[in-house]
Amino acid sequence: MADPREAILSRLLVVCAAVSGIQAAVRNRLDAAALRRPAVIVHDGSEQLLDAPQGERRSRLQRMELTPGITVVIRGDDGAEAGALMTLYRSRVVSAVLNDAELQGLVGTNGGIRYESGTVALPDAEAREYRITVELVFTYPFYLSDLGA
Amino acid sequence: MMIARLDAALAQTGQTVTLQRTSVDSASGAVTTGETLVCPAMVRASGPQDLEAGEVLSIRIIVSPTGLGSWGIPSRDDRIVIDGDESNLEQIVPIYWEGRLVRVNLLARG
Repeated sequence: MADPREAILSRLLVVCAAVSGIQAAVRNRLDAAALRRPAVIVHDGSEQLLDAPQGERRSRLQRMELTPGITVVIRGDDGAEAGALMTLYRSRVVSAVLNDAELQGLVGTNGGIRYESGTVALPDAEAREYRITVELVFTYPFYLSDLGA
Repeated sequence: MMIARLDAALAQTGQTVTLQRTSVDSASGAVTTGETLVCPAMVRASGPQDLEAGEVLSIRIIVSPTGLGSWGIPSRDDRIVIDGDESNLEQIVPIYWEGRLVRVNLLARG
């Protein structure tokens, strides 16, 4: 099996790009080319140890939590309009990710995907660009043997 | 006199940019381009930048009231197209002299 971290992040980008209404999805960039909106920016985020079985040789098998940053960038003519759009795309992105069979397969029956939080960044004065960052946590078994040389 | 001097400087050392107003579909968030204006401008990129669109961090632009004409002073988050790359206008600083608009300084990021 390929490195699960990369497999999850790659698939996550594909799923976000396919969300209805999303005009662009990019990974580890500051913004989408040509400032297309609505856009999703996926940052790889962090990977941390969750737990490991007793007696197992350290690092050969453990469960990891991967927490990418998924930021939806939209434009709105006022804060109320922007708020409704951020809620709309938060719902679509979270639903698409949680229901994706390939991502479910990648985390396996000993892992899972959970929706942890959604945070709206404070807008700048007079700005018409708004961002909501959705935090989804992917828990998956990590086998040392999955890593390439 | 000040405006004429600025116009001459822009003609000599400036380049052409396109300013765009945008509108948003409140149901889908889709963005459409509204009124556009092609005008001469002085463009100076500053800060780290990437040749790929969407990664340039900071661009300073000067435009003249003559170039803006009836289009008027740009607004925050209007867009500017420079050499084919789009950026957002983040700062708009109109400068007046004796009560008359003589130039507009812009800061774009995108």
